Amino acid sequence: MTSSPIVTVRDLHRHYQQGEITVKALRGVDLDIGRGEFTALMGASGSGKTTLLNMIGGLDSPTSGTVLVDGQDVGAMDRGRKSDLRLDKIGFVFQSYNLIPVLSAVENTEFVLMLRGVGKKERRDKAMAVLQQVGLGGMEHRRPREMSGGQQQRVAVARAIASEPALVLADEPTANLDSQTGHDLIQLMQKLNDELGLTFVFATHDPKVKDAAHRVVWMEDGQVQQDERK
Amino acid sequence: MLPAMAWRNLWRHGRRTFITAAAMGVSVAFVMAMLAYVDGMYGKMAEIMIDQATGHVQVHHPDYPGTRALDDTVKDAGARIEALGGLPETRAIAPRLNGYALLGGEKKTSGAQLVGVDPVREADVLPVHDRVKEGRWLSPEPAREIVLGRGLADTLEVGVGDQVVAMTQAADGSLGNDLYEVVGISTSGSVTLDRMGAWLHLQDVQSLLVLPDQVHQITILAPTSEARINDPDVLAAAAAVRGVVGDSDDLEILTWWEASPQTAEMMGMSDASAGIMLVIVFGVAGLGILNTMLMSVFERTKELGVMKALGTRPWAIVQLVLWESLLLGAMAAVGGLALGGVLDWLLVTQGLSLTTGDGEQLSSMGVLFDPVIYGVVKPERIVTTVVSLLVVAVLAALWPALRAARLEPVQAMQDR
Repeated sequence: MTSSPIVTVRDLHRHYQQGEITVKALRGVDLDIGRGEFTALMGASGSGKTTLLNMIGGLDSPTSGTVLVDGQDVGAMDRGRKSDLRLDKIGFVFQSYNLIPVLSAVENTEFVLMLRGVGKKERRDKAMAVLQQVGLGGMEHRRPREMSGGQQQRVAVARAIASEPALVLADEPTANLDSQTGHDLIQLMQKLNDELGLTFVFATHDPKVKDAAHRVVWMEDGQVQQDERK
Repeated sequence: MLPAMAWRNLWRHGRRTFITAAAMGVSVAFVMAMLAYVDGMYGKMAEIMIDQATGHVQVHHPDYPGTRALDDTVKDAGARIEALGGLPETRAIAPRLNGYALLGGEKKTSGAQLVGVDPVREADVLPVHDRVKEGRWLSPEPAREIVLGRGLADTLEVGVGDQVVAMTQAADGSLGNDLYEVVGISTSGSVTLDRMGAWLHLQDVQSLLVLPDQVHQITILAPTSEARINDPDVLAAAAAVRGVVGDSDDLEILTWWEASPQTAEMMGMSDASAGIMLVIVFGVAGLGILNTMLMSVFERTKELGVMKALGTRPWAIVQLVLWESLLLGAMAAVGGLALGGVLDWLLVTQGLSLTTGDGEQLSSMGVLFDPVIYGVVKPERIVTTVVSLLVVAVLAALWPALRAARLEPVQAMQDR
């Protein structure tokens, strides 16, 4: 990818205080992620990949260093602006689906559109189309408890992409799925990456994600150890 | 979408929601019933005082309320009453002449408060069937008839058809005395009048007290059924009366709340007791809502964190929680109105007995209550009750709502 990066991370540090111990979750991370990339952050538990993902997503604030998303300095934003950044630019897929249980598949999918103030009919049409795209046509009105894990994660993907974000952050999206379902989900996200040019960044242990990714960033002890491009 | 989400959230714990809504609904019903009962009771007290003592508007000698002197009277009473008769702002006009006398039956004597009345006009103030429980009311023309309060008749050991002698000092200093036939026994609702009251034809009392064409008060009722301070009907009636008889040195025209500030104060107590009841009942209901909403927010910490992570602004989270509480309150209001409506209907149609265990009637502030008090339903009270409930629901949910809005997405999503 040659276009300007969607994510720029410079000398990023994140320290936590646990009692009297200072945990250094990130120790000077530098990373650029280009538009349309399909990137996997790999590493052992505690290597800092989820923390890095949270920093990029504006869910956490750096101790020092810079995170730019689409040119905007996330670290300098207040809560409200971070909220707007997540709403406008970023889609999230979480490990345990994290759908809103009282909403149906289509309502979960259109939730972000509703927050963005999209009209009722327009957002419903869009959500229906996206659900079709992720292979959940006919299941639009099911509640999360009426769906399998794989189906729920597809709804989560639909929710993440419905607002056409600049960036989709996925934290262990296949961890709770069986092998075949995980494989199908990765294929789905690959397809969305290929067809729509969506940028995906994964924090994962899953070798299937690593195999599918265009780029694998290996992390260890809060630092980037290796950056492989395919 | 937020109201729909709020509604569905409420039913995630249907039993808890139902119990909370039921408790709040019962509170609404209880408040509605208590208010109807209290308004019925105070309304009855005011009604008795207005009908039998003050009227809505009263014309009297300026010194009479303070002195109760026999000769502090309204002169030329006949002409003045005649002039007032056609006023459209009035419903009833009744002259009264008061005096004290020693009444004697065949065996016993007792002091009595004589009330000289125009029997026909007086019946417009209080229907005869509400006044006379035994025998009949006075004849339209003076016929030396007397109606005794129940207690007085018992003291004198006389009944309908017996005769009593009245002895008193007349206004001119002479000794007035006459013989009267008991034609009826009255239960007025006033403790004093039931124990001491004796009603006679106005002209009979004027003759006994040597006060020709004079009365102590002209009692005027406005076409209103409520005892409400600054009632426009009463103010209009007072203005009309003032226009006819004019203000002069020998006359004073007062509304009932001016003539009897203690009655006005009593009506204020009705509003105060309503306020206290609302505060206590809805204070407790508010704690119930607070508890429910706090639990609801605690249980959904992770979910709320996800919502925030997706970009939900804090204000939208506040709105969601407030919607839940408001809908809970609305459900309670609907249930409470239904139950309260039934209780109010029972109170209005069946009443509630106030008789004590030994069959004695209860008295308060000089008013002897009928054994059964009937509720009075005032729409504004119901509106106040429901609005109070909804306001309490929103206020009680503010803290949980703000707490939810302040959640940090990362920490919240780690919640199990």
